[in-house]
Amino acid sequence: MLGAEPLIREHYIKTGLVKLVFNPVLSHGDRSYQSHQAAECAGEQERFWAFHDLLFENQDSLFAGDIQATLKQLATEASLDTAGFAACLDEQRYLDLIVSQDEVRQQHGIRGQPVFDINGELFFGAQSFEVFQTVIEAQLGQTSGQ
Amino acid sequence: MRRNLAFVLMLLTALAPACGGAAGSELAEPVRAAIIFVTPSPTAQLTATPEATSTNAPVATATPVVLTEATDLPAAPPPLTATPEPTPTATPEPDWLNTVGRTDDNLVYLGNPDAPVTLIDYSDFL
Repeated sequence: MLGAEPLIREHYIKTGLVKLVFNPVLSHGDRSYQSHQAAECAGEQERFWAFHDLLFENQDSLFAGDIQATLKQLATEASLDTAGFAACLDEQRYLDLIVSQDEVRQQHGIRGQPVFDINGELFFGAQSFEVFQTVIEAQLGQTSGQ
Repeated sequence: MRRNLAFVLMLLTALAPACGGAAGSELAEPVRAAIIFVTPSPTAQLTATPEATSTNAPVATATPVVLTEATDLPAAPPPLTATPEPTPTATPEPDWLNTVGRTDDNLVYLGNPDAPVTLIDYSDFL
């Protein structure tokens, strides 16, 4: 996502009002497989979200060149344990996990990306923070009224 | 000195009738004698030398008076030591921006696991 995500974190996740869940979408073949596995490998070092942000910030670099070399380079920039990260990625340790998660997404009828599910309400395509804010506030109003 | 005075007075008393007899009955009232005892002045006692006090004489010694607290008195007020008020311990806010976990579907999440709103981001990094 990125885009509106920093503001969502600041206003709603930080305050405990929103839980953000990341569901991988494998829409670009092997580059997607490698990238999502790389995020899981960073998660082994408790850096999933930091590496998640780094991947979005370096999105353009993921489209060209040796994807594994690029990912390992980003792991170095993120100060990860590069040997552990490389071993995880070389082993394709999380391939089954990300494939199964993507299959569940498809079973839910979610096509394309990005797609946002806010308490069951779906939004397709990138959204501004104001859109998220409006929907989240409406959801919070409903939950507080219950 | 006291004896002399008494003697003079007695003499006067004894001679008075004789005088009256000699003078006739012109005296309307008999002369009355008075014995005056001279009592020592208080200053005489005060000038007594310390030697007059015998060491064997009982000496009044001051008995120290111990003031004890009466049992039927109301209890003494508590000491003025300020009892520290229990400091309210502020519960630290959870650091939701560093709270990471996995959902039942094994998806990674960030934030309060019991948050009232769940935002699922279906995205590719590319």
